[in-house]
Amino acid sequence: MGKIMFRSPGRGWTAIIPVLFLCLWLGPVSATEKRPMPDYGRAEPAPPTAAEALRWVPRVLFHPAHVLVERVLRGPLVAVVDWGEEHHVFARLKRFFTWVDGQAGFFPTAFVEFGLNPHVGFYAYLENLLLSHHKLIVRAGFWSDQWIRLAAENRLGVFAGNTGSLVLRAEYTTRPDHLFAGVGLGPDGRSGLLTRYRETLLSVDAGLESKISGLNTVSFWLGFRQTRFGSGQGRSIEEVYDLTDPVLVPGFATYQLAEASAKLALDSRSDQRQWSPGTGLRLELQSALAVDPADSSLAFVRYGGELAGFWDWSGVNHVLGLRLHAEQVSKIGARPVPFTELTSFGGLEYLRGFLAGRLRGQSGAVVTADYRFPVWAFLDADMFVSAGGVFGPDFEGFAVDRTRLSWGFGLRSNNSRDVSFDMMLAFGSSRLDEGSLQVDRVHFVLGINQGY
Amino acid sequence: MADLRNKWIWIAMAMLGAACSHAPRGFPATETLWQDPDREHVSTQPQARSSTLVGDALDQTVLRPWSDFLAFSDPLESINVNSLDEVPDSSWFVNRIGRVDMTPAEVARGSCQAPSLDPQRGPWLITRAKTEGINPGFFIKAPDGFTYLLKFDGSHRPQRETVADVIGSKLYFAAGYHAPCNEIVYFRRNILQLDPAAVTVNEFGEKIALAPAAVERALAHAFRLKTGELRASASRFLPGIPLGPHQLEGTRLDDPNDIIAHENRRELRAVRLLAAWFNNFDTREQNSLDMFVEEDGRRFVRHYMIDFGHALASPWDDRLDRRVGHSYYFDIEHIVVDMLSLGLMPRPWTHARINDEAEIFGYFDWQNFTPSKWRSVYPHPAHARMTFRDALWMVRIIARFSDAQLYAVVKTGRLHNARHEQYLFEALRKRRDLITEEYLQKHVPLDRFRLLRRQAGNSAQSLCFEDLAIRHAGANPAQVLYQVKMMAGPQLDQRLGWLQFQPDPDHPDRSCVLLPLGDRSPGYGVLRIDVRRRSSVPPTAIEVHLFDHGLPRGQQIVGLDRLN
Repeated sequence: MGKIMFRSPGRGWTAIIPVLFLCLWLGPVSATEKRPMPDYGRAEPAPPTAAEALRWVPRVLFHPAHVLVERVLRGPLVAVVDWGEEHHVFARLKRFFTWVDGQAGFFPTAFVEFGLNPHVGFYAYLENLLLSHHKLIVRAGFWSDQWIRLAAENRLGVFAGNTGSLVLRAEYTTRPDHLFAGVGLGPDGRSGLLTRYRETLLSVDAGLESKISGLNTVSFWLGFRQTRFGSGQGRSIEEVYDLTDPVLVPGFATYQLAEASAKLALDSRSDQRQWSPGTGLRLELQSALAVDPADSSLAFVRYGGELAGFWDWSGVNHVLGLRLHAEQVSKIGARPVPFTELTSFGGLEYLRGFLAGRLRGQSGAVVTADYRFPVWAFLDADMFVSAGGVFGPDFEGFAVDRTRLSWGFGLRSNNSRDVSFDMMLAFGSSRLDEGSLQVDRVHFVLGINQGY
Repeated sequence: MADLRNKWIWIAMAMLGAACSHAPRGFPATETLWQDPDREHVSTQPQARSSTLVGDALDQTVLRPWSDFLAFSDPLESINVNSLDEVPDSSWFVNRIGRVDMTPAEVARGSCQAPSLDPQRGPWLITRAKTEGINPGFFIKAPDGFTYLLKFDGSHRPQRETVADVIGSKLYFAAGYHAPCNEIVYFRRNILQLDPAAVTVNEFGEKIALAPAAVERALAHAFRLKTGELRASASRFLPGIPLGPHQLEGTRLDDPNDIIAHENRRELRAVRLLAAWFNNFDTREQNSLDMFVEEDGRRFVRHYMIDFGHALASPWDDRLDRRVGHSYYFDIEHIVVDMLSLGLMPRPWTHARINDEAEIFGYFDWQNFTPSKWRSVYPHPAHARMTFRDALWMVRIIARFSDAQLYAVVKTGRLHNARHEQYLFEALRKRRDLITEEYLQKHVPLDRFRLLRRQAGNSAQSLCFEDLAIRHAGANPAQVLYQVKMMAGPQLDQRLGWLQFQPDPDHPDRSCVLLPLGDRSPGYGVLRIDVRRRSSVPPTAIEVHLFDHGLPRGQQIVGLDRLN
C-alpha cells in the first residue's frame, strides 16, 4: 500500500480531486439513523424485463453526465438562486431599479442584430409622478463612444378619457454602422457593394396622437432634425461610391429638415379584447412635407399607405395577416432628396430578411403575409413571407420579377408595446429577375428591443 | 347476491398452466399492513427548512427533468403500498372516506374538531401580517385560545380565494391527508384589534411594525356584505412546532421516520388527481408543512397539506389564467410543440370561456377538463411518477365522495350568491365524474373485495366485489362480461378452471363468485378476473391472491394485483 505523497505544497491540492469526485458522487450523507423499512407485504419482485435490462446501457454511459448535472450544475445553481431569493436579491434589484412605488424605473437593455453593432443601454421611465396621465421615457444605447443613442419621449394624456396624447420626442444618435448599398433598383449585382457610413442625427418632434374610436386613430407631428455624415466602419462608403455623384449617393452632406406629417389609421378590429385585437381590416394613410429651413431647394413630400387584413381564427391570437404597403418620396425642390430620407426597407418591419438601409429608393412597395400565434402566455411566434422592393420615382421600374423575397420566423414577448424581447431569423433573396432565386442575406436579431 | 353457482363451468386443466403467458407473483400470506410504523418517537427535533419559489421552479421545470432524463431510471411503483394495493395510515395519510363511511356533516367538518371561531366573541388581536401570496391576511389571537390565519379575498374575483381555501381543506382531509381546519367567517371590523407589537415583513425580509394604515389597506380589498361584515377564511394554527415544507424529492435527512423518497410515496403521487379535481394547481412544496407533534408521549413529524387559496382559478393575467391546469407556467413541451405545429395543436385554453353566471370562478369548468392531462404550476416529481395503480387508488377515493357530501363541502364555502354555489357544486360533481370515467373505463374498475360466508355454519366462501365503473362511471352493465380464471400450483401457473358471467341486473355494481376452495387443505391460489366490455375499451384484469387456511378460517385475501 502506497500513500499519497505531497511532492510540493504547490501540487498538493491535486490530491483533493479524487476526494472531491467521491463527495460529488456520494452526495449528501444522512447523519440520522433511519428506521428499517416495514414489510408492506408486496408480491415478490418481478424479474427484470428486457427493456429494464437494456436500460443499463444508457444508464452506464450517461452516468458521468448525470452526476455532473446532478451534483455540479443542479445543486449549486439551485443553491445560488435559493440564496438570492432568501436574501431578497430580486426585491433589492427591483428597489435598485425602481423608485416611488414603481412610478419611476430604470432597466438595462441589450440588443444584438447581426450585421450591425450590438449595443447595451437602458430604459428609464417616470410615470404619473408630476402630472396624472403623464409618462416620461428615456432610452439609451451605447457601443463604445462611437455608437451612441439617446432618446426621450414625454407623453401627456389629453381629452376626455385620455383618448389623446401630447407627445414630445427628442433623439440624438451617432453610429458608424449604417448600411448603404445604393439607391433604387440599381444595376444587377450591386448587392455586393455593401458599405458603411456614420450618421449623426439630432431630432426633435412634437405631436398629437388621438383615438377617434376603437382602434381608429389620427396623429399630427411637427419636427426638426439635423443629419451629419461621416466615414463608416469597415468598408466605408467613400471607398466604393463617388460621394459627389447625386445619382449614386444623393445628399451625402449635412442637412436639416423641418417636417410636418399626419397619419390616419382606420381599424375595424376591437380594442376591447384583452390581448389580441382579433379579426378585421386596417387602413393606414400617411403623408409628410419636409423642407430645409435654411435652403428651400431641399424640399420633398412623402406619402404612403397600408391596407391590411387580419383573421384571428382561434379568437386567442392566432392571426393570419395580409398587408400591402406602398410609399413614395417626391422632391419638390431643386436639390435631390438625401438617401437617408428615401423609402427604406429592411430592418424589423418591411422585408425583414435585410438589414435596415439595405434597400433604398424613391418609392417602394411590399406585400407581406404573416402568421402570428402564441407559443406561451407571454411569447408570440411570427412567421412571415414578403415580396417587394424599392424603385425609382413614381414606382418607375416596378415589375414583379424585380422584387425580392423575404421570409423568416421570430419570437417576441407580448407584454409591452414599448419594450420587448425579440428573436428573429429572416432571409432575404436576390432579385427574382437575377435568375435562380438565392438567399442574399440572413438577418438574425436577439435582445431587448426598444421602439416607440 | 346473485347465485352464480349454476354458472360455474369449472374444467380441470391441470398441467396446462405452463402455457400461460403471465404467471402471477405470490404475496406473503401475512396480515395486511394498515398502520405504517412511521410515528416512532424522535428524540432530536429535526431542523426547520425553508423553500423558495424561483429556485424550486427552476429546479423542477428545467434541472430536475434534465437530471431525470440522464438517469435512465426504471419506472418504479410506489413503495408505501400494502398487499391490498392500499396505503396504510401514516404520518402522511390516514384512510378516511376511502375505507370508512362518512356522513356529509363529517366530510364538511374536515379537521375542525373544536368549535368554530366565534365572530361575536372578541377581540381578535392582530399579531402579525401574512406576507406571502397575492392577497393580504393577518395572524390573530382569538379568545378561544387558538391562533388563526385570517385570509381575505382580493378585489379580483371576490370570494374565490376564501372558498377555495376552505373547500380544499375539507376535500383533502376527507380524502385522508392532514389538512388544517379552514372555515369561512363573517365578522365586524371592530372585532379586530391591532397588537402594538404586531409586525410584518417588508419585501426585503426586514421586520417592521405593522401600521394601522396597512391593516386598513388590506381590509379595503376584502369582500364585504351590505351589512358591513367582512368575509375571510380562518385557518386554525396546527398543533406542534413548524418545520417548514417537505421537499418534493428525497427524504428529510434528520427525520429517522422518513425513509421513503417522497416521489415514491403513493399519496404524494396520486394527490395529482385530487388537486386536478378542484384545480389546485399551486402544488409546489411551499404549500406543504411539516409539524413536529407530540402524541401519546411520542414526538414525531406529521406532514400537512396547506393553503388551497389558489385553487379553482388563477387570479393573474388572462393569458396565464386560461392555461392554468392545462399547462405549466413555463411549459417547455407545450412551447416546443406549439412552435413546431404553428399553433395548430388543439389546446383547451384556446376555447376556454369564463362563465358569465359564475365569473368569480374564472376558467374553472368541466368542459375543457381532461383529468390525465391536468398540470400543476410546474412539474412535480411525484406527480410525474404516478402510475395507473396510483391513479386508480385516488380515483377509488374520489369516487366515494357522494353528491350529498360534495354539496355539504360546497356549503362550507358560505358563498353569498346561490348561483355561484350551484355552479361550484356542478363543476365539482362533473369533474369528479370525468375523473372516474376516464380512469375506470380505461383500467380495471373492480374494488372492495371481501370474502363472505353465505350462511352460518356453511364453510363455503364467496368472493364479492364492486364494479366502480358501473357504479360511478356510467358503464353499461349489459355490456360487461367478467371472465374468471383460477390459478394454482407452485408457480401459480396451473389453470384450475374458469367461468364467465355478466353483472346481475338487480345489483349490477356488486357481484360475487363462489370459491371452489375454502374447505380444503392449506394452499395458495390466484383468481384472475378479466373485465371485458363490448365497446372498444380494451379488457382489463385484476388478480386476487387467496390463501386457504383450511377450516375453520377458510380463505384469506392476501394480495391484489391490478394489471395494466
